[in-house]
Amino acid sequence: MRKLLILLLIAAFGTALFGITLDFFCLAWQPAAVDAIFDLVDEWNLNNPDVQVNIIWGTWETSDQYLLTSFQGRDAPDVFHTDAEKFHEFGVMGYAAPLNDYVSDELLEDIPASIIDDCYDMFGNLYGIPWCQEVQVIFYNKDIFEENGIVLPDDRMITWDELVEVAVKTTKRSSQGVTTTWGFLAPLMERFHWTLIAQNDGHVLVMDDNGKWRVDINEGAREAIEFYLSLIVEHKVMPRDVISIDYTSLMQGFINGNYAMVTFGCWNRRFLIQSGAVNWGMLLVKNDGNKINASDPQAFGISSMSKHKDEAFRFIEFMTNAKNSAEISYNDFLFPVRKSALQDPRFSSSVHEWDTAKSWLQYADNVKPAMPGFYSFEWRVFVPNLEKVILGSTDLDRAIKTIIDEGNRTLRRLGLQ
Amino acid sequence: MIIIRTKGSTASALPYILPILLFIAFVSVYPFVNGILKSFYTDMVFGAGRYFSGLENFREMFSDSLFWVGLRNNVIWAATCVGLELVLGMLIALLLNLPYIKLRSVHRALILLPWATTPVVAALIWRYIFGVMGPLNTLLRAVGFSNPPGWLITPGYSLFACIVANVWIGLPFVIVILLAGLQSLPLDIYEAASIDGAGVLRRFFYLTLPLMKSLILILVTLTSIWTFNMFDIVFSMTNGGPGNSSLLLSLYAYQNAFAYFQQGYGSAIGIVCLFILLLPVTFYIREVRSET
Repeated sequence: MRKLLILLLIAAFGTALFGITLDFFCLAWQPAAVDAIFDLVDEWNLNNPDVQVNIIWGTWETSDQYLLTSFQGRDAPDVFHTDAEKFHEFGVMGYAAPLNDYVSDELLEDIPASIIDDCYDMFGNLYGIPWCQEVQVIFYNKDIFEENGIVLPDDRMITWDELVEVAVKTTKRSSQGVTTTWGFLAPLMERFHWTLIAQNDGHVLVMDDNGKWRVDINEGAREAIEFYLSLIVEHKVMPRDVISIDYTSLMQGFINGNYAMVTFGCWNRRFLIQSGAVNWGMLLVKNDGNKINASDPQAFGISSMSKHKDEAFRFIEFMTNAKNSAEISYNDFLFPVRKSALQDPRFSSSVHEWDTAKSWLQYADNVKPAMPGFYSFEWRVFVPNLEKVILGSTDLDRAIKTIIDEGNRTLRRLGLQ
Repeated sequence: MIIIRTKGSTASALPYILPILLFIAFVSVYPFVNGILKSFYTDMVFGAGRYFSGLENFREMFSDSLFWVGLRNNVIWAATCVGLELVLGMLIALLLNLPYIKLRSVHRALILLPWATTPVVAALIWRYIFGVMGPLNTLLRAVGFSNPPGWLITPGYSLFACIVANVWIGLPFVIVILLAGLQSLPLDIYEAASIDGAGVLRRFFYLTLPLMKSLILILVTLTSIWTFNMFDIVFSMTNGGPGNSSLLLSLYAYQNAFAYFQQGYGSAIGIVCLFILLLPVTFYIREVRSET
């Protein structure tokens, strides 16, 4: 017994001294998903005593700052998790390692091209491995719909005009003219306007053949933006609360019946299920035959500074295999990107509308422009000017002119022109 | 006792203070110098990369409308916060200084509680209070205001909400300092003034304020410097919105450095803030020197 104990101590000491420790930066936050990741990492550590993984938990709100400062401080985690399209940015900046030599054909065939394309740069370098996706839906209050006699089509997909019609019907005002229930809420931070732009064949950012970008808002995009703004300004079925960045407050408003419909990712089902206070359903919006809706795939990547890229990729392969990606996604109320993982019967269950959300994955796509530095353009120029139109500080023509002028200036400074 | 300072005594002390001087140099001086140097570089992160651009960042800044919005908001922010803290702080300190106030130390401890709260936590609490469906609007609806404003999503109100949160945090410090100042004032002057028929207001304006002038000036200078550079309140409550109406220079510098990949530009904004603050700093040093 004493010999066994000594051997175990030597093994532990040896592992600590000669083994590898990978730092894994993870953004999962929903409790069940966090537990699932803890379990998987424990399983990995048990089976790989020479390659131990240490989880560094981050938050979505501060992930960009953390990663940027980590990369620049040359103290980046070996494996990191973030939105799939950001790997393109980090790759171009030299912070993410290319994975072309690691990735297998089997993996590439198992992930839809439309999703993994986000992680490539224009030279064909792959920087991230997508592992989960979602579809942005419109959650609606079934009781409010029933009270107003609203019956949805069987596929629960409604056109833009029908959306206005439903929102008008469900918007209620008191005798003093104060709105007590708003028909619709599409917060700017949820980017429903980008879905509308994509559904109307619009574009805001255009890349030329030399890989240079410019701000160019075509008629389709303008119409889509006008439609979004009309819900607030003209039809008065959507409040200025869309500007709010307080997710909790907005969801509480939906639960309290202040909003008949809200747009959020399908992962938000967990919050509604947990609250149990609202009888909810999901629907999608379409523009005639164009049913594209927003999706925000997430991915894992390896820091270019990592000294253990081989081991890091083995860990990514482990986390993103069909079984494990299904497990993490299910607990996060998301969907795995791997086609083999989607075969998991849990994703086809009618409980909590898994089957409905899964059937809509075919329409889910990244509706945001695939430009590195997109978030800089969006939050510095695009959204603040939309906010000014919503608040009545400016009109849409002037806002669009400012977006084009300031946007191109921002793109120049980023080296995109 | 006469103390004779010699060159030798300073030199012999150097080995003992050198480690801490090196530490201070590393923690304070190095980032400061690094920041100044960075301000002369432009980051074309998706193009040419980082290159030396001289004063380009500063030229860019003066034609950047967001910089001027931030500067305007900063002046309003600092002036309003400091003004409110001073006026409210003096009122509360005067109340606490009344002779019949019991358990003054308990009051002082309770008053310090907001100051002990982490600014981000305080900001999140106030964000909840000022929320569209928050307790403040619920209360306003209950007392008859049928359509209270969206405090955090309406230009003007958003900065005001942040000011309220910042004053709530900063007020305790001002109260404690002013109270200490009030309690150090000589009582015989007030007794003489009372005998001569001076009322409360006259005693305050002609005795209290002049006697506390230096203390108040130093307090205003320090709180102005701290308030001007505040970041966490606005970041947590509004993130500079809506429509950049509550954007401060500290937040704008942060956004440029960490969200827009423009570290050089963010550093340049920081340098400009430094020069703006040199004015009160110079004033503070002069006041302290004249005190000693």
